Amino acid sequence: MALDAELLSQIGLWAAAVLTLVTLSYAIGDHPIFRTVLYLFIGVAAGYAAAVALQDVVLPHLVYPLLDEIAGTSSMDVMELGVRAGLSLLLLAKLSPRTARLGNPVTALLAGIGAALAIGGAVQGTILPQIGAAAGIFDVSALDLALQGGYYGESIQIIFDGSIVLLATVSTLAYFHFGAASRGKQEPLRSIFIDALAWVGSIFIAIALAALFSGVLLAALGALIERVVFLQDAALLLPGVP
Amino acid sequence: MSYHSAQNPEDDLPDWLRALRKRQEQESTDSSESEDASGDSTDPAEEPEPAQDPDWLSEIRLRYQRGKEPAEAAAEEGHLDDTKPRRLRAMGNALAPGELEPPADQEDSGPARLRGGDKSVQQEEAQLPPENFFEESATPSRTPAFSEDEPSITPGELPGWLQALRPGDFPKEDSRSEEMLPGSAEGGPLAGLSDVLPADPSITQVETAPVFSSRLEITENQGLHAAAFTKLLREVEGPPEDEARRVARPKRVLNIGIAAVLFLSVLFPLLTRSQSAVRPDPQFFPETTSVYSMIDVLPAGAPVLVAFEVQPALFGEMAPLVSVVFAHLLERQANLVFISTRPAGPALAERLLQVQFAASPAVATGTYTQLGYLSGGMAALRSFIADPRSAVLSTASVDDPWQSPTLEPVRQLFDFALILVVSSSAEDGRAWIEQSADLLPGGLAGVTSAQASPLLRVYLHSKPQTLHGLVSGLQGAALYERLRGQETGLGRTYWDAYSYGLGAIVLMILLGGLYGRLIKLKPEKPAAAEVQRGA
Amino acid sequence: MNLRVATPLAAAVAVAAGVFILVSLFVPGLEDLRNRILNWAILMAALALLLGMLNLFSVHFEKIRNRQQPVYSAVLIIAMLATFGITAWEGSQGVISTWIFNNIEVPIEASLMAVLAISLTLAAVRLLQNRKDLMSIVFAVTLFILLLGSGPLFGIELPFFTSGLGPYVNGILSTGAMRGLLIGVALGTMLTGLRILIAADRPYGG
Repeated sequence: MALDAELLSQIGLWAAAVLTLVTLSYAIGDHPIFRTVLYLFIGVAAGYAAAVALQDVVLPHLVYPLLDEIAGTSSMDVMELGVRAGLSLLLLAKLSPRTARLGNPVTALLAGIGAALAIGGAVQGTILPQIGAAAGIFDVSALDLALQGGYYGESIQIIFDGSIVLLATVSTLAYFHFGAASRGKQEPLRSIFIDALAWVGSIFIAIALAALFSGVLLAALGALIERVVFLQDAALLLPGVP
Repeated sequence: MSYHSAQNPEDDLPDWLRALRKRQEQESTDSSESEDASGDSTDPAEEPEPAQDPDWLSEIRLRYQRGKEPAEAAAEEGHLDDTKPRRLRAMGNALAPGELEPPADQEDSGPARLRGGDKSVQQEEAQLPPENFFEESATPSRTPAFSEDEPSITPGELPGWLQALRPGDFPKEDSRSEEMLPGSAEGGPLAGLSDVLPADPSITQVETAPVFSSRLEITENQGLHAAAFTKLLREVEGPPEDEARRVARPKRVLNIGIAAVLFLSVLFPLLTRSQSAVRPDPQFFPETTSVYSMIDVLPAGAPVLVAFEVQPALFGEMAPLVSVVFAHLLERQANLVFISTRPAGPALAERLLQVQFAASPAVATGTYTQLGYLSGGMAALRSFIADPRSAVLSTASVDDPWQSPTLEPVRQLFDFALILVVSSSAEDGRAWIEQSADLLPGGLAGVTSAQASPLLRVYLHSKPQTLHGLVSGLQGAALYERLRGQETGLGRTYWDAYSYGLGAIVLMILLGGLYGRLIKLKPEKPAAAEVQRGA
Repeated sequence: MNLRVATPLAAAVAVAAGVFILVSLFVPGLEDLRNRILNWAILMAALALLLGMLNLFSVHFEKIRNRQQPVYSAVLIIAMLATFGITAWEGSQGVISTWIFNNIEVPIEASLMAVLAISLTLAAVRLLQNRKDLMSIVFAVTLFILLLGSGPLFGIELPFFTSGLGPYVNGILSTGAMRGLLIGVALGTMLTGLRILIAADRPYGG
């Protein structure tokens, strides 16, 4: 029996409104209805993610090629298909504690690939470009142009800002430097220079953490505004309300 | 000692035994007759001179004599004489009164048995050969101590000393044995026997075991120590339950208060449809202007890859920003191609398009492409960035998106006119930037949530530049709408609510901090103190 | 396969795959094999997601059997199975699956984020009450400046913050510190990855 689209939409609106109000009521305190809604959310999210993975990846990458191979309309190299099927079976062995070890090579494959990509991305995508940025602030050619044009104030501003950014970068890294020279039987201590730099770094880290905190707070405020707008619209769309 | 018959039995006896016999004979002769026992000299064997007592024996005798008063000793001896074997009695009478007294300096030292107590002497005497052993055996002394020819003991007739040694004849006056024997064995396997060592209580005890009290018996000192320890523990533990509730009550009130203020401050401008708040000035946000510029120069029909890495949690916050950017893209007639490494990404993109752009021709006619979901995180990203066509497979069962007119000319990722990373988290944005750094010289443009902006902003200044533009949050939505000259839109609708909510937050932080510092909110201090002590 | 052989084999697979992928990033000519391996990883990751769902099911099923909050676990299992079944049958673009996603998952998740606004505001209000050291003071002052520079308050704009101090803190002070943090994170990521590639760390159960 096909459900009426309008009715489905109305039921959906009610459900969303009720669930929103129950979840927002957590501001008052924890209660069993909120917990029930939370468990409902976890179940729905897990089921949805698994179904999408099945639909978008497992079926087209494994099941359909296997069926095509069985049906005789091969769409993938047999060796490739065999490797995929074999890896899949090994990974499925993880379901049972007795055979879980058989799946270790597959998880090792994922771990090794992830580690290699993380290294490559970190080096090429972050370390080299960011070090280049830290050094490129003191662009000699840009400063030369600025001085030639008589922009002395801007030149000083560039140098000053660049120094601050460089100091912030270096001192932040120094904050996490925990190496210290051995002093025999005495407790090892960092050098005074590193300690001073680390102290400066702690101030910049506090600034960075405040920036992150403000970002999350503003994002949450945006989410709150959207939910209030939704409740307002839902209230207006309730039957009987003009 | 070798037992063998000898023609002269006396020759085989040890010297001390021979002397003892001699003495006993002399004593018995003296005690029974006044005649001189020298007539015994007809004894064929040459009797040696009576040897002196061994040292240990004389010592015992001396200790015994010293340990008791002569009368007492005599009385005891007399009492004991009644039960003591005859030989021992005779022996005791022969002893000089002072011979067994222990040395004066040893009277109170050493174990009792060495102090010449009559008990030890009795036992030691009991161990000695009987007194008239040699007397009776005087006649028998002439007979060998051991003879194989004829038995020295008539069957059934035991000599007196042996009878005395039997358990039944043990002198009852032995106080030591009385201590050891609280009473005769009245029950158990030794029933009927007197003067026996007590049996193990576990086998003689027949009554039920006593019930011991479970009450802990402690001394006063122990009680004081326990009280001090309990007090110490109470100081270390957290606040009592009622105090914890007292701390929690104002915190809960504060929570409700903040929620109410925020809710009302956001609701008020929405209800009044206020649009008075000034939108931000684009000149202070060059990174946003860059994104605008990149989209504004797109030719019609240009394929634009949209990496939709949005979480449902922040979809509401990003909806105004994504709407205005998509509106700009659709206005430029860009062909949108969606992909996501998040399971909910494709569905959220679809929802946004259907809700906000249902009337748009591109959306209405479906001239956008959904490549779907790519699992695997960085591996999927790298695979897709390196070779988009192989990462997203298609078979006869699924429509091949790469055969569509939009994607037909796209072979590599840099064939897209623009790559837009729409991300609600900094990690997703960073993953795209890092994995595409070496393959995309043109870089990316970012449309992000406000929470991702601080971290991704850093990539705007990297060398080589990996992020060419960034617009974020509700502020970015309002800014972008201002750049496009829009007076309506979700950004404009939300901006006043955002302004009032921001003001409420700043005011609450300011007042809350002042209130806590100046007025000193009492219930917080014990909790803070407890936390510090615990830390 | 002998289960005991699986342990060193897993380490060998991790090292070999990781080294090959790393080398192929810098050495041309290995792209085809690399992409093939990466496609295997895509498939395995999706299967791992399915296994995760099964594991979640078994954990909560055990909780129902042991009567540990059985109602909550029953709600979770029913919701999970219903959503999985409907979405797998219809597809993510189906009517019912879309309805479930739009009217259950999105509202709850968005509302949870909205509640975070209240919690974070409460945390900011109590910030200086609990700690009074230099770092917390710098944190509070910076937070104040950034919030004031994020937009007008009650419709009133403060140009000194929105156009001056706010962008300066965001663009200069915060950027420098973030750069240091990012470099540190990248170095840590590199180190962790290298430990996996030399089999010093074996998070895969080897």
